[in-house]
Amino acid sequence: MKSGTTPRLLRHISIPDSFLVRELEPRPEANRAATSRSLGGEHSPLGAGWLKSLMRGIRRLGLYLTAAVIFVYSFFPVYWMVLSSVRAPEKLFLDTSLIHWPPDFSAYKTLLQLTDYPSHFVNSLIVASVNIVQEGSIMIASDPFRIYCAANYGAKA
Amino acid sequence: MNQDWRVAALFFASVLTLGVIVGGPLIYSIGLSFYASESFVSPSRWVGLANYVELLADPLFWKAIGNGLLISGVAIVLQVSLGISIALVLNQQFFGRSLVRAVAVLPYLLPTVVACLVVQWMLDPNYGLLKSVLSSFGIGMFDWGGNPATAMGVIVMVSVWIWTPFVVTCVLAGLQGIPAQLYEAAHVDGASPWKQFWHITLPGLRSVMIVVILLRGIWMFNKFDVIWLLTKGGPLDETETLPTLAFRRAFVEFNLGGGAAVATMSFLLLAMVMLVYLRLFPIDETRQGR
Repeated sequence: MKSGTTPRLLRHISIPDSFLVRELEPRPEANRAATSRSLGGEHSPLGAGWLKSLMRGIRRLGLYLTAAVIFVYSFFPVYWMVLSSVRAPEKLFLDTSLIHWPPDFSAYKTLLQLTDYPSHFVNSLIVASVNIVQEGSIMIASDPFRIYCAANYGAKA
Repeated sequence: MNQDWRVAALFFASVLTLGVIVGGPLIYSIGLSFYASESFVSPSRWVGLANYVELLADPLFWKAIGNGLLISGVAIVLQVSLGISIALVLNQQFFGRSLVRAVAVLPYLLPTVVACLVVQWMLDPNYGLLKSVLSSFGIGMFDWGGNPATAMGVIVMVSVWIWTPFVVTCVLAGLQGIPAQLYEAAHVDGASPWKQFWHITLPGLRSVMIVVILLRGIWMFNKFDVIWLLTKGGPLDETETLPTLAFRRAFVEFNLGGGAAVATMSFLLLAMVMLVYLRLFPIDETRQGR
């Protein structure tokens, strides 16, 4: 693992071999590693082992906290929607607790009894499928034209 | 020759379909704006450019343009910056990543009506969740839709919540296309994470961002549903934009020609901005350098 593994372009630069070999080792998760390690991991001047692992720990914690924030931000309104749907009607205007047990499904019963829910559902389905077929067929129909132009005129259509 | 004929048939069929679906209503709507009419069935009277003259003299029209630019501008900046940030986080390796990725797209799957109703329910000044949270801190009830600034803020917030996942999805896809070697090289050169982001990630996302900002710009400027569902342009026209103004003129005030004139002006304005945008940032892979 000496100068034999050093890339040809870099061979004439006088950098310690050990540095190059360590840096150029193939990393499977290089994309992430490159962005996350350079903050003071390997060649940090402080260098002490415990400090490095502490820094890494803090970074992991920060990553998980951010992921948790994204999760709550995206999920909470949906959760609130579902939760409000299983709250008993008489409590809907009084109770804002985050957990409601047991669930009350009377709103769903009313929905199916008083509205024409299945036919609304089928309507949505029809609109969506016709739309997909229409747009898809226009896209597919225009593709041979693009290929034809590319082949015959060498231009991008 | 047979091949030529079939290709031409397919091409003209799709152009014709698009022409009828897109061009038909467009021409009809532009034509309507030269008439005075109360509905689609009542007899209409040719008035020439009177609808436009009346519109250009109306301060509400200029206010609606300003409101629309403000709402879409702020919303796009927030959507894009938040979308890139979330995508960068979701691009890291961590436990439960696929779950967080799935949940992060959830707002985009919710119908707009539902999202708006949920937000209204949460912000309700009498029974909402936010009211009970605030009252536990000793802050009294506040009508978020009753104040011009907060009403606009709610509209922006809801559109950011719903459409940031679109940016996240596109940016995540774009991030996969940036070669890992670039980051390794930058790392060897000792570039800081911020410099790597600025000189590798952002240029790598250029073509994605051009399309995303174009689409978000068109959709936000033409945004009707969120504004109508949340504020109906109120309080006192403070959140009126061109789409809501067009709807109000045509279907609330029964002034179909006036509504069509608003829609036509909105279309022309957007088309001009988009032409300039596409001239500045062409969506052509060959002309874009990394």
